[in-house]
Amino acid sequence: MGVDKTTFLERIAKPLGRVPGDPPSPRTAIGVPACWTDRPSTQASRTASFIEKFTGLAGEIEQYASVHELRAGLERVLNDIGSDKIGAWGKRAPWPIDVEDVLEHWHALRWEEQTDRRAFDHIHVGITGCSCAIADTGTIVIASGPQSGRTVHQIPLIHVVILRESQLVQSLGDALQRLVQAHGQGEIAASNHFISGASRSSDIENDQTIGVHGPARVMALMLTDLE
Amino acid sequence: MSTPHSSSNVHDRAQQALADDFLRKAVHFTTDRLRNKKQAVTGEFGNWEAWRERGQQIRQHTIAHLDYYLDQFARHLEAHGAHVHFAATGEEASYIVREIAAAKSAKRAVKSKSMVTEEIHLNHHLEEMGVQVVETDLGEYIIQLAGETPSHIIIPAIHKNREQIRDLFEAESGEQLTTETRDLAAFARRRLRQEYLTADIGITGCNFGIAETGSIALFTNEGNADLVMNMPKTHIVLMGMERVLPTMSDLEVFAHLLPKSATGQNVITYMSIVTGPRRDNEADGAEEMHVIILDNGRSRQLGDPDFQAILHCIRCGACLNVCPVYRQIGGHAYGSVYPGPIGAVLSPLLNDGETYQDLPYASSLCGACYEACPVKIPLHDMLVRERQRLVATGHVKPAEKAAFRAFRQVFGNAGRYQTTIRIARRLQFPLAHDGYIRAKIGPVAGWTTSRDFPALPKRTFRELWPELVRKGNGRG
Ligand code: SF4
Repeated sequence: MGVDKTTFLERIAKPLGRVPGDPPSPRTAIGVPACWTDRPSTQASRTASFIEKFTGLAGEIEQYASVHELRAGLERVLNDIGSDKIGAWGKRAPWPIDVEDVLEHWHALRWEEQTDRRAFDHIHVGITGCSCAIADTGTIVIASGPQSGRTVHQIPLIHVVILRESQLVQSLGDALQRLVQAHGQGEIAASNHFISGASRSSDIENDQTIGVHGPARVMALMLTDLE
Repeated sequence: MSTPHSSSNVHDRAQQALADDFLRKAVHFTTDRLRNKKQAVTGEFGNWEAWRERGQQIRQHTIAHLDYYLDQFARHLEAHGAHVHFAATGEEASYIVREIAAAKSAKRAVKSKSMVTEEIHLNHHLEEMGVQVVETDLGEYIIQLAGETPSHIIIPAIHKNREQIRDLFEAESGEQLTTETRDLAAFARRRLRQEYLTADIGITGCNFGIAETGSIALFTNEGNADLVMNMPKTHIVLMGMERVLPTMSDLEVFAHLLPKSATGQNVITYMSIVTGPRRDNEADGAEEMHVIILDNGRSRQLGDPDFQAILHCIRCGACLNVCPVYRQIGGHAYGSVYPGPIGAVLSPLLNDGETYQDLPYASSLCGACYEACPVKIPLHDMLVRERQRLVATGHVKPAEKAAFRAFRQVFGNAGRYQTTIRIARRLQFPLAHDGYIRAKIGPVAGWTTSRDFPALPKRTFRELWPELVRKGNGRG
């Protein structure tokens, strides 16, 4: 049951006075208004904005001046959390920084092409990288892949994300353009997840609560890799 | 599913709602909160009018070329391995979902909040064939347990208090729970996690479909849609055919307009952009993805200069929060899936027949909905035009018709007018006190049971005029 595409589209085109398949008239307005694209953006302003917005959404952020310090920082964070139920992207995932030593030390369960999703059911902490992060909104962007399963950051109560300062883009539009490019190259990920803070709901008498389905805590460990 | 107010017309349902103190307070409190937050966030964001303008331009262009963008969207989706279905009616869409469920021998489905699935009563159709459907949005889960329908398109359980929620959860689980928000939410997390793990099918709506890439964008604050589409093996997307946007650049505009208008949030917590099912080398995500594109009365609005713009709607709910009528009576009184000003316009347009024809009258026509709408839909003008059409097609109550006929006759002739006023003045005598009629009975009771009606004065202006002239002349 259902109708075929041609009939369906004809029923739309006709009242619009169009012939199906005809190209649209040229657009006068695409995307955001000029006031948004014309803003100044520097690395320093991006970093400051990301930190402000990310923490404003109850995200926790630590900054490190070297890879060595970041690894030590991750060690400390995991110690403080005090759980040994740790999961992480696979070794060949697009990690922005190599934290293999720490993950091995903690015997983190790793996500591989053949992983059984159910093995991650009882994970408390999920450690991932990200494809970029957005300064305007404090958003982390994660693309799915063979070694970067969605389960790793969607299931646990705590999500720790590793990133470099140079991965910050100014706007949501900048991040979305990367998806368009990936699509053009036939490489768009099946899932691109834009995460802004912890899972939340105000459905019970307007009283905000966190961690309803997704993580209740999101922590970012950022390498300040720019002058 | 039922609504707490099941009377057949909006007037009676509104009366019931007005008598429910908790409901009125809860609706007031929530809508005030959402409205104030929206005002604060859009003020801080700046240039809000430029964003609204842009939102309107994009929606206008998209809908005016909808066949083109839908075609592009469908082709890209298919290229990414998704199955695309087209449904002219709600029955067709439900049938397609049931066929997929049957082919998968599905027993259980999880769902994230979707107004389109409410529109086509999908849960009911699936349950009839033995598929158990569980809503995963916390608010939707609550009202599903209560056997009710949503009363707000963004905050569905606006009308339930924490004691009622605890009772529902306890009845469902047999567990003892407190009324603490944290405990109730933790229970929902535990419980629903099991549902995701055992479901055969995940059903979501679609906030926006992106033609340029063949992607589905889904917005949630809880993160439930992400689990619904990633954990079960089959993901079914139901979308109204108008949900499409041409490009990712356009999505940026709506990723600002939607959360800011809906809940006053600068950004939605989770935006998932799904482009096809899991790739061959991935170990999670749905293996199969079906996208069902639904007409169900929408194409009737195309080419109609009065109503085409209703398809620009992005279902943000901002018009509900500012509507003086919605704020008094809440969502169930509308008796339709879509409440508030958007519901009052859309429901009679999508549905033929008499059912929703009283909804265009559930408005004071103040225009607050238009001011709040992020894509500038002139809802108040549309309500007037719907009323005009109803009158033109004879959909008027006999009493109202008779009243207007009498009005025309009386006001069309000076002699008749004077005589009528004289008689009415005498007849009002037992009902009028201190210059007002406040009676709960009598010919104007429809008005005076909830408002005062000014009584006819002892003398009309016309009767006073000769005397005024005399006095004026005397003084001169
Ligand atoms: S009509 Fe406008 S304000 Fe109302 S739900 Fe639709 S987009 Fe939002």
